[in-house]
Amino acid sequence: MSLDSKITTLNSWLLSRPKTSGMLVFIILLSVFNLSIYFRYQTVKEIEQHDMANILGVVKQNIEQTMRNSYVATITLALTIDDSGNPKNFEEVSKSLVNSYNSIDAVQLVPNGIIKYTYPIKGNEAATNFDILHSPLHRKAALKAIKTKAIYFSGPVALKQGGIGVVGRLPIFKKGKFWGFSAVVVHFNTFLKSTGFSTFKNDKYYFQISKINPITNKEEFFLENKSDFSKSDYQKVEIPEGDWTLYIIPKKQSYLLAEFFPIALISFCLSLLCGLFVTTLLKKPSELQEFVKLQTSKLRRSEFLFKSIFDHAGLGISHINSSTGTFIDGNDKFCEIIGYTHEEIKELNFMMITHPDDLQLDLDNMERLRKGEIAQFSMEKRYFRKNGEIIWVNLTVSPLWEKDEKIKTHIAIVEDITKRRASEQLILESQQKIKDLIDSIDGIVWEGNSEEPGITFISKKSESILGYTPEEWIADDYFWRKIIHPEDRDWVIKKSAECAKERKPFDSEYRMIHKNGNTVWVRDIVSIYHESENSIKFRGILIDITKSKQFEIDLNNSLKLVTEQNKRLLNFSHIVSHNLRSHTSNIQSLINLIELTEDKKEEEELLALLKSVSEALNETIDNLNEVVSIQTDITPVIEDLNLNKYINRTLEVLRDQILKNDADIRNNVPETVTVKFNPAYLESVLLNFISNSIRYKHPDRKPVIELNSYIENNFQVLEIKDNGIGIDLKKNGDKLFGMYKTFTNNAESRGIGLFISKNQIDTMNGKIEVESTLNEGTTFKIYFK
Amino acid sequence: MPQKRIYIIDDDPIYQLVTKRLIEKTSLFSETRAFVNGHEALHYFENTGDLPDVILLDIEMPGMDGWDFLDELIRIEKNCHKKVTIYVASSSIASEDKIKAQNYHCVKDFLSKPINLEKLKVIAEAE
Repeated sequence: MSLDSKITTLNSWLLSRPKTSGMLVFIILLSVFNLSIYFRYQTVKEIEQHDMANILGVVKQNIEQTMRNSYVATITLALTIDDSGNPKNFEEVSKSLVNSYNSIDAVQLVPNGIIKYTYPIKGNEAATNFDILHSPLHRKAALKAIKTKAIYFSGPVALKQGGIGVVGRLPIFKKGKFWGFSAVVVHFNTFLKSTGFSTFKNDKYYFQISKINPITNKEEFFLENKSDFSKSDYQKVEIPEGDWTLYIIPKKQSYLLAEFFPIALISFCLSLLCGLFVTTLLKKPSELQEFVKLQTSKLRRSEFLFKSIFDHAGLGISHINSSTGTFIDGNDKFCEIIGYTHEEIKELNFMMITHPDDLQLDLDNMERLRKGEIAQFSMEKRYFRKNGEIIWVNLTVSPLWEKDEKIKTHIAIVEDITKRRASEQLILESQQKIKDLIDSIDGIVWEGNSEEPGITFISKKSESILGYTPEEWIADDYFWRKIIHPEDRDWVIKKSAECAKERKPFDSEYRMIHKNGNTVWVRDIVSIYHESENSIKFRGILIDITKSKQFEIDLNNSLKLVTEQNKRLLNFSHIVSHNLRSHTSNIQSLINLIELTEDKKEEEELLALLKSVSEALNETIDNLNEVVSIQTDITPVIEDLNLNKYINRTLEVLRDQILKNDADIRNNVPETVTVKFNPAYLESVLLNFISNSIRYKHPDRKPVIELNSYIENNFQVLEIKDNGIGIDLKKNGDKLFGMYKTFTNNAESRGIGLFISKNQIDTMNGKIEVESTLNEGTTFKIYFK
Repeated sequence: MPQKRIYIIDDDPIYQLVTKRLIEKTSLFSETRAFVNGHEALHYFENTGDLPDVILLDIEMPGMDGWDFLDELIRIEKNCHKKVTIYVASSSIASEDKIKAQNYHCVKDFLSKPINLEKLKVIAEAE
């Protein structure tokens, strides 16, 4: 068990560490491969050593064979020496020896160390009589042979007869006394051939032969390739007959490496590959394992989170069967909101506790949710609590099925908004109160957000004051401009725009046009409110001041009237003073003259003048009386008078004058026209104007007088148009209706007629207008109220 | 000092007559002439080039009144190279007429009617 668990632990340890595991695999594989390569290397090496030993053995035998042959040859040669010490049949024996032993190139007999006999002589002539015992090169080897009394090979050494060769010398003793040597000469090449080196010549090994130089005592090598091989795995064998050492040397130590390097490389790569493979292989599960672990922890966390949310949320959360509407579960808050316990809600469905007025909308929403028309929905609705209390909640329903999945359950999140609803209600009520308050203000209250035309709010009072609804105002940015009285529009817009631009309050009185066409005087007071740095609000109130304005206008009119009357009175007093004074001064002057004169006739003449002055004075006083009577007659009788009838009567009075002046009177006044006027005044007015028109006729043409009547601005107008001399209105306009103002030299003009007529018309609240061009004619317009 | 010539411009025939007679009786002036209004006087001045030393001028007159006459006279004066002394003689006591008269350079004084001996003497002796 413990082992199993250890393995499992190790497994998971390895699985979770792909890199380490990969490295391990790599190392293990590499070691295994290396080991096997090593063993293989060792084996090959051993085989090689063995091979070398074999070859060396064969070579040694070959050399020994040569030496044996040489030995036999020297013995044979030695035997030819007779007791006297002279060789017998040297030539014959030698010949047969050289011929029978390929490895021997020449034989010699060297009595007392001096070469005397040589076969074949050809090519060896130079060696004859060479004293070897006195040659430093050969002496040592020769002495050694004598000493050991056995054949001893010297060389390879430079031969006296030329070339390099090996010389084997056998000391010959005759009767116990040294005779000389029997020698064989083997050329070095022959020697080499006999060794059989060439048969073993291959890439793997080479050979070397060495000998201690007798003179220098240093080891001397004789074969080619004298490179230092002391570090190589060489093998050697000693050949005592010549003091030679035979070496076999492996040619290239690296060839083995070269042989094993690719294998090593391949195995390295293979190991690496395996390591990587393992790493990647393990990596995936490891990653997956990590991922699963992460997901699991996430899942656990989110599960915890959701559990926490569900249990402790400030919102009521319930899980509901979407088909039946029954509650599957609900959190504490939900139970608290609706006042049921966890167990009780499981017996309920949402329809049972929903207010009947909200149920249909809820069910409709659920239906749309089930059909997939909506992804979720929110609504405000009422629940019945267990105790019967009604609460307002904000419900959010989210389905727990995916699209195209079977309809299962849903989550309903419920927030108790009863308090909010109550405060909203309060706000609404207070807003309504403010609105009512604003609407109760006896003026149109409005608000705008910018200098640009257009308003954002206007109180209902606009309907009662100007007849337009707030909707009509709001709909058109230029509405206000449009309903300003045309005569006031331009200056009001200009001024208000200026004030708005300069952020100055605006307070002006102007006229607006009511929807029914009436003129309404308003006072417009506009204030500016800075809500924040960049936000500005214009608030204003339009107060209906038509009544007070009317009073003001009436008052102004009265003032104007009084001023006018005052002026007239002053004028009148001037007139009175002027006229009376002109007469009195004349009287004074006349009396003065009368006193001065002594001539009776002149006195009478002056008295006559005095009389006429007094008459004129009388007439003036009469005229003044008449004027005074008009001005003091505060309530003259006013009747409906047929205008045409009075015109005809006047024309009758003026018949003589009309005939005399051949005047053409064209009366176009309709017979039905009536005017409200004092009868006596009307007679006087008509007489005055018509007679004036005849009186001031143009001398060059027949007078034509046209009478027309029409209605203008609620006035009945009588127009009297003549083609007379005309009046220079520019010069005399202001004096036209003054007393005793005459502008012609006409003898009949008295300067009182128009003055009286004007007074009479003014008293009747009418007015006179005049248009005239000099030498063309005059048109008087009499406006009857 | 030679006697001055005096002309009267007034629409009131009685005033004209009486004043002229008074002047003649006093023998303070060498010549007297009367016109009913400004037009008539101007017409005469333009035709004859005969300008008096003194004019007694009424204001309220039909046709051409005293003020219009004064405006015209300034024009004629320039042509005739003669200076005329004007006395406005009016029965008006309106102060605006007095003020207006003062604006005219050539108007020497504003006299209230009637013109009596004392006033004539002042006119005759004035520079």
